[in-house]
Amino acid sequence: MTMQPEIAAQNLPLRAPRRSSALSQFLGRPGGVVAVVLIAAMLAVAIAAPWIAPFDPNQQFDDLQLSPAGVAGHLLGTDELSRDILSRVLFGTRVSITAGFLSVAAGAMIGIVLGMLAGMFQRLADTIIMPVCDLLLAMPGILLGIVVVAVLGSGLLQVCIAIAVLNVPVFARLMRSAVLKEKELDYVRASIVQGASTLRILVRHILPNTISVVITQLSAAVGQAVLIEAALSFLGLGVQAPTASWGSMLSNGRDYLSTSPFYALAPGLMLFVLVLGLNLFTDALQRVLNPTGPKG
Amino acid sequence: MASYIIRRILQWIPILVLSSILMFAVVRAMPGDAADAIAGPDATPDVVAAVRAEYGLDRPLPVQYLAWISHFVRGDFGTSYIYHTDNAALIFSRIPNSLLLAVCALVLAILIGLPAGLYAAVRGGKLGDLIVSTATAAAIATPDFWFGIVAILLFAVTLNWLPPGGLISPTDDPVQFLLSLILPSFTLALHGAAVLARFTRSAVLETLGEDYVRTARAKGISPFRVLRRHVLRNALVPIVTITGIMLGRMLGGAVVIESVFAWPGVGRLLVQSISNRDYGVVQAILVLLVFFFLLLNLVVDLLYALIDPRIRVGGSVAE
Amino acid sequence: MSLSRTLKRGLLVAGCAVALGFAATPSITLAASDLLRIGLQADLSSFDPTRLNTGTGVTTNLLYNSLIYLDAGGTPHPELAKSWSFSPDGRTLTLNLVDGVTFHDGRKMTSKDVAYSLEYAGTPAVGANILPFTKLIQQVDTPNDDTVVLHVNGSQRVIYDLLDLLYVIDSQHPKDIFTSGNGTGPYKLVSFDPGQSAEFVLYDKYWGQKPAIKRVEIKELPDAQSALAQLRAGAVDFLPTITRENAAQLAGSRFKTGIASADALGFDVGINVDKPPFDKPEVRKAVSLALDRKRIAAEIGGPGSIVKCLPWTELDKADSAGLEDSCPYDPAQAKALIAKAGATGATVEILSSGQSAPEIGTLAQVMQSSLAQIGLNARITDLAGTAFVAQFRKSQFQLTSHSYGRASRSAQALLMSAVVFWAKGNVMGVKSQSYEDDVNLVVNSPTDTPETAAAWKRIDQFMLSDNWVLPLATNPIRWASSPKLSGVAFSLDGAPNFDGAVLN
Repeated sequence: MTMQPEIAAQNLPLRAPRRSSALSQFLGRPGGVVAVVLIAAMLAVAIAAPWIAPFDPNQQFDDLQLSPAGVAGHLLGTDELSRDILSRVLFGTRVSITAGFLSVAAGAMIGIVLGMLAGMFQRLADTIIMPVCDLLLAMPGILLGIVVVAVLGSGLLQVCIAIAVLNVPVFARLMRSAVLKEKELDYVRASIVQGASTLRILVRHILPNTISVVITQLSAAVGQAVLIEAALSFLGLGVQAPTASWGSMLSNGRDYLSTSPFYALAPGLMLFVLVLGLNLFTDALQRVLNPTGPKG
Repeated sequence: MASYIIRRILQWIPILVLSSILMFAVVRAMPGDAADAIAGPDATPDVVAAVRAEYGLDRPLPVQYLAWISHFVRGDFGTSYIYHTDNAALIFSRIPNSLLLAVCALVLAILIGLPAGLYAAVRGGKLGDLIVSTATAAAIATPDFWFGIVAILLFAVTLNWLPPGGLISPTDDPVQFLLSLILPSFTLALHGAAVLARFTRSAVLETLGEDYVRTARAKGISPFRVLRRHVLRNALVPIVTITGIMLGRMLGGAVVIESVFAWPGVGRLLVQSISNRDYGVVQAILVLLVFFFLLLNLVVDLLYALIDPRIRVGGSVAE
Repeated sequence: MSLSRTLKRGLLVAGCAVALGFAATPSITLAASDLLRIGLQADLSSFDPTRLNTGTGVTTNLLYNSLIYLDAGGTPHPELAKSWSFSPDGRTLTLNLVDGVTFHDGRKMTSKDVAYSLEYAGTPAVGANILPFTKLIQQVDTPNDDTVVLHVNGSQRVIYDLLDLLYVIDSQHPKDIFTSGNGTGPYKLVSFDPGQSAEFVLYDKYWGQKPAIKRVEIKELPDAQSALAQLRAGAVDFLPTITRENAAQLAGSRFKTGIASADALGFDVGINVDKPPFDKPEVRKAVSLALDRKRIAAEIGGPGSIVKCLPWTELDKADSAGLEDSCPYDPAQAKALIAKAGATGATVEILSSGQSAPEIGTLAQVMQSSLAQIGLNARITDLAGTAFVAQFRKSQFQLTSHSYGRASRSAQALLMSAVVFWAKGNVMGVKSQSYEDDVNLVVNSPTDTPETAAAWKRIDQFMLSDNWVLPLATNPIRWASSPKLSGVAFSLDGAPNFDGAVLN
């Protein structure tokens, strides 16, 4: 079960961060540094997987079914199809990162546009956009994912679409309420009175000032997306075989916990580290972008 | 109050109609139909056609939709193609199980998350805050199904303290019943407690910064009293919101946990019914989830008024 | 604070109320040796015995009886039919029913119920998996309550398979067949929670030898690891189907494991002969040469798996003598064949149902790797069961990793029931008049003759030369139990029978 902490982000004051000190503030906390290191390391693994992985992740070696760690150069052993577990774990980073970043980016983009429209044109919002968003929000994320995958079939693209669909209403709601608050501010009202076009108001005034809320939510959503991809793959509904995914490795590997512990432990640990990094990143962001809050 | 509730409920009608159409369309868009599931791969095309006709699946989709919805609104959820029992009975026999697990997990999440968040907020920036923040970040980063597997291995298989899963009827064995709740509830509460702790922390911190709290403190009112009278009361509104959302998610979203703990809940029924293309069950569960969400929203809004008399029911609070 | 406390208390009260209002089933104190608890991985969906499959066969043997039962050697033994005889021409079969058999509702079973059971299984809309066999029965006569006369037109082997699989159901309440389980079997249904659990008690008026176990509880445990944990923790006594990984995990422990049927299920590769490049016989031959059947048996089927080149059981091997080594593993030759056919580098698609059956998905991955070695670039489309069935039935695939059932039964029964071997309407697109004629001959001849022997030889040759379906290895059905349970028997299809089982 994963929460969508849209409300958490809604509590943030909608003020532009003090940019001059934002970066130093962010890195001035141990959490921020750790987060950046963890995420950078994961991104590096994802990019460099073909070079750092000792073997082809899909190559099936002869007579090496479920060999223990260290045999024949397989540092974490091999799986039930005699494939190198370490290489599969490293390549699995790509799936998680793709599912996390791309799908959230896509969902956020659509959601932001819809949310801005909803904020500016309230009648449209209340009749079409928001009811549909509410409907989607009513579904627990994993169930929505299962339904989408049942319709579209499984695969990385389909999982990404499912996660994107999950994120559209989150960002739409977030953006709508941010826009509604901004609209009430004096300078925006002034612009409206001066006859500025809606698009201009959105792009020049509202978007820059709501960006901090969006960024924080983006960061949180990526972590959840990674977990949802893993859960779908764990249920056998994720990426297509033979592509390595941490979720499917966890699912298959738990049959061999006593004999090949790394098979399930390694992807579990990677998953933990990536999501932890993303969560710490979100925390640090929140602290920097939320100047009124105490500095924890 | 009553008129407000009635007005809210009337607003549900278009949402429910829209969702029923949407759910129907989505369910029928899944490749393969119930006849494929019933007849299996080794059936000849004429057998599949006969099965399809037997269950009325050869009729045009709008006709099938109208037939379904006209019964559905009268409380007739139809008969399962696979289980051959009343869909309503099937679903409502699972709902108590899911509700039981969700409520237990929610209670645990509140019992753990609320004090932890409060503690972290009061200790703002100090070691205690850091510990809570790190622990909750770690809890959210732990895949719950993984946590469940490890918990079963440790507490059920290795130590043999707790049942490994499944629901034991309280009338059969009350002690075992309570024990059988522990592992799944804790696993389901893992993320909820962490989210709630973080949420409480930020909500309380926010309130602590408000002017009236500062004023109250300046007046020399004891910190505990300030916390109780002013801070908590205000922080409780967003906390109740997130708790309401959490209950909804825990009720329907525990699919993976239900699978790991062999828990006979609604989520598992839904997944099984999707794979069987048992349309009536899937459509009914999805629409009921929407209904439950609407209901929960209403309850949460009413709770606001209860917690904070300054909020008038029907006022714009939810934004 | 007081408010939040009220809230918490409210929730606790709600939780307790839910807990108390929970499934109030009366409990009866039973000695541990009287109660058998079974963890079922398959979906406990209905008690219709014509829907029996690997998982739900467990309830069928509790609730129902069939007319005869076939032992592992294929010899028929009396069950509800105490005796039977074929007319000299093999076209008429007279069955004499056991006296004093009653359904669980107390009504006496008669020949009418047998006739109804046949009619039910033969109704297309029921979708029974024994439907093809019922087509061999042309007419059913019930001269009196205890005699059934079948006018048959087909192989006696298949008739015996049919009688072994035809569970007698209650003709008076056909609508209740799914949920009431009103059969003549040793156990009677007490409660049923669809998709969840069921309870059975010994039927006190059971006509046969009464089993020692008084009560049986089945609960659905769809997750294999979770089921294993329940067995280990002593929450269930018997798991009728476990994965080979789980069997390996239990090896050396105090728990018992075994093979319910080594050959009821068979792995195969289906090749669509209408889809290029597989329209070329040499490309299909190359696929056969590229697959290492021994590895597939060892690594996917696991211990007990039997390598297959032709799909027949040991009993039916006589006609295919000398063909044991007709499907060697020779990737070099396969690669050359692919090159010769100009198919090197071609992209092909493997349709698989790995989402529902993980071992089928594993097979697809082994296929993919094997095909890569001979120059074919394979992609896997892994679907959930129903989506797979829909696409499979429409022949929308090039290759498919597949599994067929009924593999432990007669060769004739296999030809009739498993779609990949059909002579007519085969989804692989195979069409051959001589194959169709030969299949009709062996299916319709009451007994073996020199003509049928010759036809079997031609069938074997055609399968081996045309390669539209490649049997690979069997997929053994494995069970596990607590050390206390003994005496469980298994049907040819691997379904457990607890009539002689003891818990101590």
